[in-house]
Amino acid sequence: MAQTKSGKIYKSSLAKRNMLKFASNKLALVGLFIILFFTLCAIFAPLFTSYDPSYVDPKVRLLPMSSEHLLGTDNAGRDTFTRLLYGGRISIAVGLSAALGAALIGCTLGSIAGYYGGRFDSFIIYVGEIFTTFPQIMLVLILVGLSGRSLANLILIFCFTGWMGTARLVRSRVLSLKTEPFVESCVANGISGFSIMFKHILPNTLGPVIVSITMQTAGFVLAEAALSFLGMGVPTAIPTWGNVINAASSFHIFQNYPNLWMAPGIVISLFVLGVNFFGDGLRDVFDATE
Amino acid sequence: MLKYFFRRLLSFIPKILIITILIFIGLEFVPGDPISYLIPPEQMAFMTEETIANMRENLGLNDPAYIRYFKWLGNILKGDMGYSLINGVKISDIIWTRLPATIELTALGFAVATILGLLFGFISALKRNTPIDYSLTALGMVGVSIPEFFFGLSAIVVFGLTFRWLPPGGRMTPGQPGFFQRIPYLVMPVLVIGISYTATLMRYTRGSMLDTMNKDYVKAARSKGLSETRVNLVHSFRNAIIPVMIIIVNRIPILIAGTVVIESVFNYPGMGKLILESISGSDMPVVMIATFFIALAVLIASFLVDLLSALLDPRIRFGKM
Amino acid sequence: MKKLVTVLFLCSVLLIPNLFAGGAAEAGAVKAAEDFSETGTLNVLWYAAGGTSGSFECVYRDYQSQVPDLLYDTLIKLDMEDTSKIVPRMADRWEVSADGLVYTFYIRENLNWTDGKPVTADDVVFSLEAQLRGYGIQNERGSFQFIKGAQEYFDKTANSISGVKAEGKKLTITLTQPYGFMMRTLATFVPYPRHLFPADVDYTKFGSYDYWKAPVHCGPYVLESVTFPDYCVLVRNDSWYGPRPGIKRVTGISFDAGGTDAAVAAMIAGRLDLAHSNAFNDVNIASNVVKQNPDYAYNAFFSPYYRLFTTNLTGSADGKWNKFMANADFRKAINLAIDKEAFASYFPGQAVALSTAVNPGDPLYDKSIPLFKRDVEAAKALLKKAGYDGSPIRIAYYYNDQMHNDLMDLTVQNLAEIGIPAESRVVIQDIYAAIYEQKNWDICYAGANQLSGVENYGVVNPGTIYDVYLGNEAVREELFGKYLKEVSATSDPARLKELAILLQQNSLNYGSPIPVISMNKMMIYNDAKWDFDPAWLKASDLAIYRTCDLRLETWKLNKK
Repeated sequence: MAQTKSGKIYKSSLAKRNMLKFASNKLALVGLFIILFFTLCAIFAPLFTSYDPSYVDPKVRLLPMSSEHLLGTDNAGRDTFTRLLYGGRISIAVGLSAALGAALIGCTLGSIAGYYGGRFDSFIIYVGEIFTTFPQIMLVLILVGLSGRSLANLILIFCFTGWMGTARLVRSRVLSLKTEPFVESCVANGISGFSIMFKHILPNTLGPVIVSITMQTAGFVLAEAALSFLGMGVPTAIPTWGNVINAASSFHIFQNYPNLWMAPGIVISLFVLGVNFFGDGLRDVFDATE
Repeated sequence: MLKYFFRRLLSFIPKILIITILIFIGLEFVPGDPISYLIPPEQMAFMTEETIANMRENLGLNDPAYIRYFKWLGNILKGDMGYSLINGVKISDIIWTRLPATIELTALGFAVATILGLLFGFISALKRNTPIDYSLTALGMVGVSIPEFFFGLSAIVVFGLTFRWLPPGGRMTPGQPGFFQRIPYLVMPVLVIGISYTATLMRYTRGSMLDTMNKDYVKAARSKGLSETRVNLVHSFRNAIIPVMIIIVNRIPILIAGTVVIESVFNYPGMGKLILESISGSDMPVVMIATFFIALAVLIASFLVDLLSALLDPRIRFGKM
Repeated sequence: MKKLVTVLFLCSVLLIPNLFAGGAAEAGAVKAAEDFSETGTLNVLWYAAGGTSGSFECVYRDYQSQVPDLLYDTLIKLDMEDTSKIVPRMADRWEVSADGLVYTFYIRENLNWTDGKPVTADDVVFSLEAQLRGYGIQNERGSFQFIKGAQEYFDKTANSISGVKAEGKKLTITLTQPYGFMMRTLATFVPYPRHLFPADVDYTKFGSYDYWKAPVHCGPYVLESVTFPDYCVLVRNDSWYGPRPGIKRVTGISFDAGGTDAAVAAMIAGRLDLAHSNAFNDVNIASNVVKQNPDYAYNAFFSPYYRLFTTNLTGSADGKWNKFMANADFRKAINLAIDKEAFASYFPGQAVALSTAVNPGDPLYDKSIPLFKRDVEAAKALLKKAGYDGSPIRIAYYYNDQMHNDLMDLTVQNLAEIGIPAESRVVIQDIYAAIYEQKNWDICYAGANQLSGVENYGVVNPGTIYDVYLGNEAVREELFGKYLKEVSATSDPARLKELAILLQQNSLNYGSPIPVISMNKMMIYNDAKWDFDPAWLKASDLAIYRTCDLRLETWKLNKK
């Protein structure tokens, strides 16, 4: 049930109620707006700029901000504004696809562990515990060293090292849902375990999973930037936010051309902030429906 | 209680073994030929291929993997951790000069972040829906959203180079190795490393506090006429802290991971920086041992915090688990 | 009970750092009370893993900092203003036979190691052996191949180097052929005390001996204290035979390979007075330090260092090698297409676009060869002449910094402009296998650093690793090999010049290697704090490689 401003009370679907609840959270709306803004800017990058994000022109390197180059040019003479726009494409895609991949692994393992329990459960928990013993960035560093710097590798590595949280979450939800009457009726009706698990139980865990995907997206965008900073991220020829900020990785550039790192720094921070606000709003919504 | 303690302690051993195997397997596949780092490329012009084959044989780089694993493990148990492939220095020597620096950094970062996180979360919950709560929450959000290296570099430029209040990097001034003399060097890295940890803890503490404050026993305590401070501190906060402890434990690896970035930014000679240098130098023995120690540190730290939360949890304290 | 435990736990968390701090402090604590005021000490860069690895490094490994230069001595040094003049150091006199094959050195009678034991010729022999069989210390190994019996000793077919004899303080070295750079090589070669290593020393683990934790040496300074991984303190060696150094105390502050920016920050903050290494070999870094902190100044030393694209003429492991690489016209087209001036523009005042491997400022440069000018049309014409079909080439490089990433993007773009599709890839992990075994690349951006400009052609010398991808052996021998042999043997400047010109022209015709830029070497120092003989600033980069006498007696700290 929800109450509109006019005071009229009407019945609504769960989704509608959730939507309204979300809309009443101003920070979450701001977050959504930020996410949409950056995503659209990235997708329609060619509309906002006429430069090629990867054309090197040493004659115009390190130009200050001007009407021609809104954020100046980097040490290779590329337009920083353009690179930020195009960089968003890869950074957001890396963050989101890695989070989705990690959630996929996490959901699968978590629901199997939670539903079947027993040895398989303890095995997955154990593996998860071992994984969490290694700080993620160290695993990533080692694996990047192992497989080299490439976009696909980075996404796979993020998936591979980021599933534990979701798995834990899904497992505990499945454990509690397993005892619910609707599951018992499914079992009584002879529906296969696999089907119960993925068709009946898993959809009920999606709320928290979506929240965790959101939060992980933010985490992976930050991780991509940090890895680029350490020289272990996406190959430098591909513009990403991390690589754009890395254009100022030498100290003399960092000190003398703040436009080169402040702009990408602010963009990354803002985007992550937006995702976090959004995620928080989602969390509130899903928490209440539990 | 004691039983709980020993059970936790025992579960360590297989974990440590698995960790060693994992580290070894992972690093076995790194496509780095360490020999290339024995010779600077600029000097390579004067070397023959035969010379290099000889060197490789001498260093035992041609044995099968499992033999090297058992050799390696056996040696570690004996305290002999092998030699750096880059400069032939004993790895144990390297670790012992680096580990204290990292423990110091993370322990201080942990202590500062935990205290600040719990404190801010507590305040935020008590003053919920007031400007204080909103600004703390917003600050926390900003804290988890800004990349750590960005924070660190900005801090160096502002406090280290523009105002020159704090040293821009390193661990100590020559001739002044005492802990208190080193504090200026620790201020920036400790604060930066703790930022996202503080923000996360704050958020969870706030949530947990709000949960607990609505619980019946808290209401009951308040209705008994106990003082507000006592209700908040003894009844709400102490119980609210138990779920937060889990977050504290879970986030320890993230805190330690932060050292890789922070130590690089502040030229702080610790394990994180060592691992990064060694990976880019293809110095796999050092990477293996350093990662092993990091994982061990995570295990021990989790164990300690786990123990502490067990002490706070009456079910465990009174031997029911 | 629980409160007690909680308090204890928290206390232990807070106390752990203190415990460790005490441990780390031990080594230096005794001296901490002494005068470490700004004016009393020169803070120099202690680079590479030297300080950070918990042990001093074999001197070669740490060649980029001044610390080993101050601690260790060599048999002789060169005069920094005229490098043909030899300055006596550990050896106070020497003789060279008329045929240039036998060198005899007499080590100073009263010269002792810092532990009081006398320095003998046997120590030098020991160190030569370590150079040949050890690893990580092979700086001069290439040059020592001319010592009689060196190859046999290295191959382990002999138990000693037959060409080296020690009798007390007298050392005799016999060569297989005259070698013009012998004295220069010995000026960088550092002897170690044999008596501090076990009798059955394992050279492959040379760096792991406890000796390196507090090395004994015989140079102008002695090690007073060291706190790994942070700093070391050197004071004047009172028993040194030479003129007394002007500065009482020198502190080495350690930075590792990734610590360039941190060292730059330390300089801007006035905490590091002298940086003089490859990591700072960038005029942009130097000028920024001076801009941010006007107390500092920098100097670019003339250097025979250059950067080049080596060419793969023989094929790759994955079979994707571009067969046009074997065509000289194709290689010359690449040479003309690359915007070397743009490369040089990244290092204003430091780098020059090159036509040959020899710096145009070097007297050995062939003046008949015009300075490099990019020529797209000529490059296209050469491609046509080569019958090029548009197949792609692959570029490898191993400077993993943003600037080089940018420069390689530029190269790819340059090649695309003449119609060669190219891709570039940084070789992070395995330089050796990538460059010399798999060779999954067609051109490779590298740096070469030799004793003189003409020796840059050593990279095409048969018998070295580079030759595996230089194509036809007979051609190579004809174009380079025979001249290079003469280069290393001759000491006649006129003949050297003739040979240099031949080599430069041959390489130009051969289209390999492709030189890009020469780079002078940078030194950044605290001009307001440190005074030294200005002659040093006119010397070439040889001073960096501990070849020259640094005239420590002229160093002094300003009373500012």
